[in-house]
Amino acid sequence: MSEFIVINMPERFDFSTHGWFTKAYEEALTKTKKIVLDFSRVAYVDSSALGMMVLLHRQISATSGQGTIRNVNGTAKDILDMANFEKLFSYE
Amino acid sequence: MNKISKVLLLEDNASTRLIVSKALQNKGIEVVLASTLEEVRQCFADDSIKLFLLDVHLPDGISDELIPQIRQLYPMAPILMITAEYDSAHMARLFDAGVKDFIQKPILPLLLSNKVQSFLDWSEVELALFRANENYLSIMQEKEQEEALAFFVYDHILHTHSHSIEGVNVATLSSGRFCGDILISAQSPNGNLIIMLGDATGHGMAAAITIYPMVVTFNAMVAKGLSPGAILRELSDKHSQTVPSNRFFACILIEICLSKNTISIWNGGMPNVLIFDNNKQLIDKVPAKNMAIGILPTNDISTKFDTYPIENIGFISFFSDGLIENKCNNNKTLCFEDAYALIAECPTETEYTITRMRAMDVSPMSNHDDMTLCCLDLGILRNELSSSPVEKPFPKGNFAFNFELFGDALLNDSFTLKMIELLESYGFSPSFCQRVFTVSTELIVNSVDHGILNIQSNLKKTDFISYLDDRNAAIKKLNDSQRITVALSWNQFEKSLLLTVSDSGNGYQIKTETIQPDTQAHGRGLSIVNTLCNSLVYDQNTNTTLATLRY
Repeated sequence: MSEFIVINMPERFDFSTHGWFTKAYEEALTKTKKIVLDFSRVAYVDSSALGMMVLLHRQISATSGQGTIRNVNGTAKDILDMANFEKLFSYE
Repeated sequence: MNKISKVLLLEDNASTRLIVSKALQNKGIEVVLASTLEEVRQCFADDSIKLFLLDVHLPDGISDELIPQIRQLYPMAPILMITAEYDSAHMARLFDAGVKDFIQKPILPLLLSNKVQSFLDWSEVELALFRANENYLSIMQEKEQEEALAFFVYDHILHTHSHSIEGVNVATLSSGRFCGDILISAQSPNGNLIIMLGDATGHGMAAAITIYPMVVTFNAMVAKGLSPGAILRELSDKHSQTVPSNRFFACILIEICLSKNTISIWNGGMPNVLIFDNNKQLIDKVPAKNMAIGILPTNDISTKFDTYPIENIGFISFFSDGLIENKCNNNKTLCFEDAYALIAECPTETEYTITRMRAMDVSPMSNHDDMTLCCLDLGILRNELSSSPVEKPFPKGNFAFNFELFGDALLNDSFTLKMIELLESYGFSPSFCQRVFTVSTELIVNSVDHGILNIQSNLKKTDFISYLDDRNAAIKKLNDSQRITVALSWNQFEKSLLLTVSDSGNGYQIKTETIQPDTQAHGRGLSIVNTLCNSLVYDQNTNTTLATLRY
């Protein structure tokens, strides 16, 4: 098992990313319990992105794993803060 | 030297002339004969003469007077004098004038011919040397000119891409004209200062040119407002596209963020970054936790920065490895820890430290690696950054756009982003565009899902996946009379953007969604919109949502 797997999030993280994102984390969760979402490139977020992240969180919790958000900035950060995501994910 | 050489023999005595010319011809040397000074002058048109053999006393004068002219016309041709006299003062004068040697009378033909041959051979070598040297000088000159021109262009490009800011003190000692190190800083549209110190593999021009794509990318991405992590990935992409795979770019990226009061550091293959408190006491070191850019594929690069609260930090020193490698103090090789300690003695004196470290080079006479030392003065930088609020340009001139989408066209995933790109082209800041993106995505998705497709919001409560299934089923029933209208209108005087979304369906009640617990996968859309907009109104009569965002 890998210690953790980094998923590099795209510039646009919204409903259109749904298929890609679900596949990426489901694949990662077969190899690790710890997932890092790298938000370096993310500029555009909508509420369905938050929904997808909650689903990810549920899966991670089911295996007592850990989800981390890395390098979140700008409006994306405001939106995650607004949704109190620090309760679901750790930040670095 | 198989070439036939031509020798001019000046001799008024017929029998001597015959003996000498015979001896020379036996050696395969061609002889031009002259018996007076005047006859010699007549031969001056012949530039193939390689050596002059001159009797001193002639009927029309002494041959001394020919020597300056011969020296001028045949600078490479040796002059030998045939004489019976032993006037050493005269001989000395002739040596001074450029005569190479004397042949004493009576003449020994074999000795003479060998001597002449020997001078001819030597003269050939001298000529070849002379030509090689001339060639060398012209190549050097060409190289010098080309390098000067290349440097001018390179320097110009780098300078047009960099600006200096008070509080970033840098000293550089390059091993040659071109430097393989680069320090560059630029301010992001959000006001953060991003600084990069890079060290390309090797030194000189080859290293310098690999820096160029890094500098251009750095500047473009900072200007675009990318986060440092994203800039790092762009640098890596650009590097793999442009630079040969055996060349690497070690670098340190630092971001100073006054709004969060933090300083973030990423170190890829560079010496430790030294962190000092306000009293210049070393309080921490940030080692390289990453490899130089160009070694790992972009996806394997960790964009994790070490972040520190800015309050406790007074100064930050960082440098290229040339500053600490191969150093020796009091005959003892310096380990890196010793070198760090030396640099930490006076972190702000960059010029002094670099001169001091250079003097400790193991082999001071040989070429050293490029050295760059930078010191950030956080006190000054904080003032600089807070006193120069980022000018936020806003679009001049009002505009309004109206988009209508029917039937399957409602499902165009790229519509919102393309609309935002249209806004970006008017010069709105990235953060404003991000807000507009989120708001318009929420409103359009709500209009499509709830207004047109009639999917109940609480469906999401049961399962996001079954919500998607229901949505896909509803999409199949879409028809071309179903429509949403999206309008954007910018008012430059109020600096506000009005976004309206209406649909041909029954509309949806924005008040029906209430804020859900944090662990729910749905129901955040409208609270986000409410927060990001300055006003949000739903007009039930026209089934239109009106959102105002101030710039």
